[in-house]
Amino acid sequence: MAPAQSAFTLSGIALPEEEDPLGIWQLSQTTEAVSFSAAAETPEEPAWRIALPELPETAEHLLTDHLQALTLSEQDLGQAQQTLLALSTQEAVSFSATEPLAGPQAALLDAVEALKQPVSYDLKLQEDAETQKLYRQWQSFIEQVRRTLMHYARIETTLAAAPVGLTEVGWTGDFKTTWPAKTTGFSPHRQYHLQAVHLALGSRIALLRVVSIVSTGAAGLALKAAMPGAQVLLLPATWKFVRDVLKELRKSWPQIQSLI
Amino acid sequence: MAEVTLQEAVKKFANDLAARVQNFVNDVSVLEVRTYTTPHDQVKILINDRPDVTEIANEGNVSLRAYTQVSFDGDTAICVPVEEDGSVDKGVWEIHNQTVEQAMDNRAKMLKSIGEAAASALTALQKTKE
Repeated sequence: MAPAQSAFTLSGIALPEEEDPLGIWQLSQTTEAVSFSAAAETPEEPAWRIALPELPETAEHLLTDHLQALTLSEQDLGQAQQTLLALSTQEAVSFSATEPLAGPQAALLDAVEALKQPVSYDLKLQEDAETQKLYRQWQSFIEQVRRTLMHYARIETTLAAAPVGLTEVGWTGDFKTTWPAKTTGFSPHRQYHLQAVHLALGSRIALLRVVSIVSTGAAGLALKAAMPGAQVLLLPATWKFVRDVLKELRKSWPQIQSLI
Repeated sequence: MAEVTLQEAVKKFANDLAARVQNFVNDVSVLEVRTYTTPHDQVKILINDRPDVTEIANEGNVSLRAYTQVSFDGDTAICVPVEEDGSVDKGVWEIHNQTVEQAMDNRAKMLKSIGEAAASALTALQKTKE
């Protein structure tokens, strides 16, 4: 488990099932986790908060592990993208049931096959609570990702509850960074905040990449279904596939899982 | 109907991103990086009350210590932080330069990612109409 004093929290956006698809951030709709005042208000803009423990070795270890988690998430997104490409371009897809991604692949291909059936897919949608839920999740996800791009990104780093640095990044990429004046010369604390900014902005880009991979994947799979409009109908199933693939692949990160 | 609602959501996403890309192209001509320092208690106020940093800098509660403006054509304007004796404050200057590198890297990645996301969503919508 992560040390009790630490937290990597994302607030101001509401992702489906209150879960970061990358598995890096804990979602929070309030500032309670790292705020300094009980009266703190819910932020309007997305905010990434990194609360580090006082012990330098532990703080560095936590940051390194989370940065590694981001790198692994980016790799896993690449694997999801490649798998989607293979599923959409291969005539006959075969995979062993023991493969870690067998379940998500089978579920996605079932969704493609369902579109080929003569029964109206709209009728099927209205009857299928799970599909409806996925539709709502995908809509919510793209809305929240859109929201992260429309607002300032705030990144706040604290160490043992003391402020280390605050950065605001405008949507065009302008940076405003504020540091406590007492810190002079080289300070590892400042490096912590720079790493925190890298982690937060990298996570935002990775979420945007999820949208690209799902949209492109659904468009590719629509060719298999050979049905007009299939790519939009396949977006929720493709979203579920990418989310499940990321979850599945995260199981191979035991050393990082223990920290999240 | 779910299909229409989802299509509208995708369309909104794609249109917003496309507008962002357009604005990016217009606004990307200059990248500004500002580095401030402030007394410890002011950082807490910044985090809790979320005032506009530029405004409270004008009030004197936050000091703008370093500033870099990078134009699209490569022209760069820099304000270097100095100590009372006129020597460069190396600590602030070093961290500011690292932030500038981070900002340039982030802008490049964001522009690429927003373009890709908007293109993928628009492609899906266009294929729907075909």
